[in-house]
Amino acid sequence: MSTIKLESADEKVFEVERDIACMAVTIKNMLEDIGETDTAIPLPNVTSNILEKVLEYCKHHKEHPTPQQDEKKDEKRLDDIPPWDREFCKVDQPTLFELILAANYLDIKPLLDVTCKTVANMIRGKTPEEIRKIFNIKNDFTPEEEEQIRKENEWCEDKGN
Amino acid sequence: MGWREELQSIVKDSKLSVHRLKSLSTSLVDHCKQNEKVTYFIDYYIKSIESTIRYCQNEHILNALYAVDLFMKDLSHSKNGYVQYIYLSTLKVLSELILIFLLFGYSDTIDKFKDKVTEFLELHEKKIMTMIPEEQCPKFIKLLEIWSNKEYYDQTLIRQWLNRMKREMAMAMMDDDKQSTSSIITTTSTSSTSSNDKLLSKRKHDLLDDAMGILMDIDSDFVNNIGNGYTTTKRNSSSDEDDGMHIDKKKKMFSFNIAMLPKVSLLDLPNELLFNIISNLGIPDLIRTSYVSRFLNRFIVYCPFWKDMSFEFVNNFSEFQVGRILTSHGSQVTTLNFNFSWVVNRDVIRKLAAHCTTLTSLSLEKCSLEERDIKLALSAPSLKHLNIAQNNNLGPNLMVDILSRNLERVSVACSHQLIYGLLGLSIYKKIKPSLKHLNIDCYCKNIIHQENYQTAIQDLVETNCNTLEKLIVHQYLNNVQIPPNSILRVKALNLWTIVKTNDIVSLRDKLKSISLKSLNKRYLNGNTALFKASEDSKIYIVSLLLEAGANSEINNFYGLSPILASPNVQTAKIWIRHGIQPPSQYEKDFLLAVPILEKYFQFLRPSKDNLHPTIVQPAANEEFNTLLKVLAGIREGQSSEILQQIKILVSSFLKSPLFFKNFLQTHRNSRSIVACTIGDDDFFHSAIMPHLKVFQQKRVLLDILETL
Repeated sequence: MSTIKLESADEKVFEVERDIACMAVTIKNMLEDIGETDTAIPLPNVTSNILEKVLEYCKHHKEHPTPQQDEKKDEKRLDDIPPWDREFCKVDQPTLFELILAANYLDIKPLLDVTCKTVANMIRGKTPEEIRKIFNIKNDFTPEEEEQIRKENEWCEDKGN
Repeated sequence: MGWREELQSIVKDSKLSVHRLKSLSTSLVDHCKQNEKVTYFIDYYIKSIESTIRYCQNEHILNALYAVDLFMKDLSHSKNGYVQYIYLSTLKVLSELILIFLLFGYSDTIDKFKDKVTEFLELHEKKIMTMIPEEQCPKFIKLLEIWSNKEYYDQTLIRQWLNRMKREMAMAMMDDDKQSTSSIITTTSTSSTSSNDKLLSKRKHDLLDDAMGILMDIDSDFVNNIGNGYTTTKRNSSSDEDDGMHIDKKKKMFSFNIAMLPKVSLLDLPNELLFNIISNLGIPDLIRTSYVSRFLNRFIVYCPFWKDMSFEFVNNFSEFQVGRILTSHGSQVTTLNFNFSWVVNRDVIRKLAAHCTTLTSLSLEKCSLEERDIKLALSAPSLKHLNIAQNNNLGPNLMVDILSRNLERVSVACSHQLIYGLLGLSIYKKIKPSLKHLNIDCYCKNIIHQENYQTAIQDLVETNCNTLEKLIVHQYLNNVQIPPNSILRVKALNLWTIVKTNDIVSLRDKLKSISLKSLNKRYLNGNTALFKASEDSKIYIVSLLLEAGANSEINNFYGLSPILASPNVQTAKIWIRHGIQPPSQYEKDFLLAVPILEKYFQFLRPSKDNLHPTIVQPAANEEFNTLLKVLAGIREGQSSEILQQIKILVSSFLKSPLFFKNFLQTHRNSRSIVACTIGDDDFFHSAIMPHLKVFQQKRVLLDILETL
């Protein structure tokens, strides 16, 4: 099986199987553009630790292909993250967001979906105050607005289920 | 030339003319001052500026922003000037009251202007942030620095932009550094950022209050260019050529460079990714998130999250709240899903008819609405798809109203009266050519075996086979002859029937290529196929469905989950074997009770020699607690062998007076004990219990024990 080289932003070179790297549509397109090459493909916006994680994801999913589903968008609401992916996404927040950005840049849709769902799950069922705390977001409402919001908010404070 | 054209032509000019811009600004400010009711003019100005930003070319974005800056500054300065103006004029004629009124009107105008500016800056964030040419970035950052000191811009937005731009600049500089030195990435990054910062802070002092300084820079450049004639231009163009490739490459990286930043947080993500994340949330979470900060509030209120609104799994809203949501967001909604929801009533439907003007798809499966409610809902102007399955209290003649609208998809599955109207009363003859999908399936056993149904369906098929594309009928009525060369497909076999009839072969076949949506479809009373299999204790089917990825967290109409529907230990064990994570604490307790039941299995069943087996070994407190918790939380509609067995087991435990007494004295939650020992007795539960305080309940039980 042929391999290609990928160079991360901090100039580390990874040698991966072509098929695995091609799960990233961006890389696939690049390869189609430039044809066979021995030089490493530069990925100037992905650092080595993130690229390593991304490749781990690609490798696992190449070996364990998920049965294809989700052909429709309206199934998005269901938070169906496979166990391996759930474990995979158990990283600190900056890493998670960097994974999202990398997945977006490299165009790996399943990874983007799964990471975005993970973040959505972090938001799910939380009160606004909890959300602020989790994501370190400043509450920039004025006290009056805050009071108003608190009043409006009372009814959805009561968590479902 | 109108104001807008003038603005656009100024912005288009690569050398921004300050004088022309200034005169535009003066006319704007004057206009705002002169008119008390300036809304119309303000709107015109706002729209002009907004469209200028929207349609200008990338290299002109910065110019447009400078224009915005000038207008905002002049407006807010003139506000202070205006106070003086009023003071002077008080001496002359006007009464004080009117003046105060005028003053307020004017600051309102400025506030409105400010809000609008923030709004469209956000709207075009993506264009501004990613399209602005790299060589203009330092200037853009300076502008943002200045803006970050003005109270009339939205500070959160500006600061966020500023941070993002600074970091991107740092990255771009780092890129340069990397070519000359091969030092480690982190140090370069910090040093370049700090030097950048230093540079900026120095410049900030120089330019703190005056963006015009930058504008003047441009102008003087312009003058220089003219003065030096060809030499400057030539030099510029030649260096441009040299750098052509380089800049191109850098630009490309530039827009992606965010990924390398040392610390990314949620709000730093580009808007489309934030959208991707938030679009996973349901309505309650959306609303809570919109209360987090101003930015998220605006982001959520203005983004099309509300297009597809589902209340199907929302169980903690009241009708009033749903009505309020429809009032504020109804105009954006195109798909509305109230399936199996308790929150629909006439008020909600009224709000829907009044506000949801773009609604195309409405699902009201099992919503127990009345006929006139449905008629009201049918008045939604652009409605195309309607699902009113499982509504049994609708009269047969409503079908006439439904068919009179030019709907494309109609589902009346299991709404027996409507089906009767359609087939029995031959209303099907009024089907219009617009109808593409029709669902007259039935999930329950109550399908009425009317003789004429079959002939009616046959007739229906023959008359509509060239316009109708899909017809779903009950399997008993599936002896239809479809005319050749027609586009119609008739479907009768659904997952529900397959599970009901235990048809493993068809199930395997069906599961091979099933979408997640049909796999988790909710049939009678909101039960999924998985629920049905569990309820009927069809263990093998449960396994097959779980392997196919069926969702075990979809509760039925009464709030019962497939896990809680398991009637016996064998079925309950499947969930454990498949490693299903129970979604709620109660389900967790329920599954925890299963191994306990297995452990004491021998005591649950009377044998020949021992009709009432007593438990010899004392039970562990945790085991007992788990069982009690399960009994304390029994849901409506939940009745199974498992619960019976738990009850038997609990009473067997309590048969040992020593255990009982000990437990009662150490345990705080005596209420649940009372409930599970005597609680089944309705009289005691409703008449005596409420009048006893907790310690009294304990006392009563202890007294009973003493007398034993």
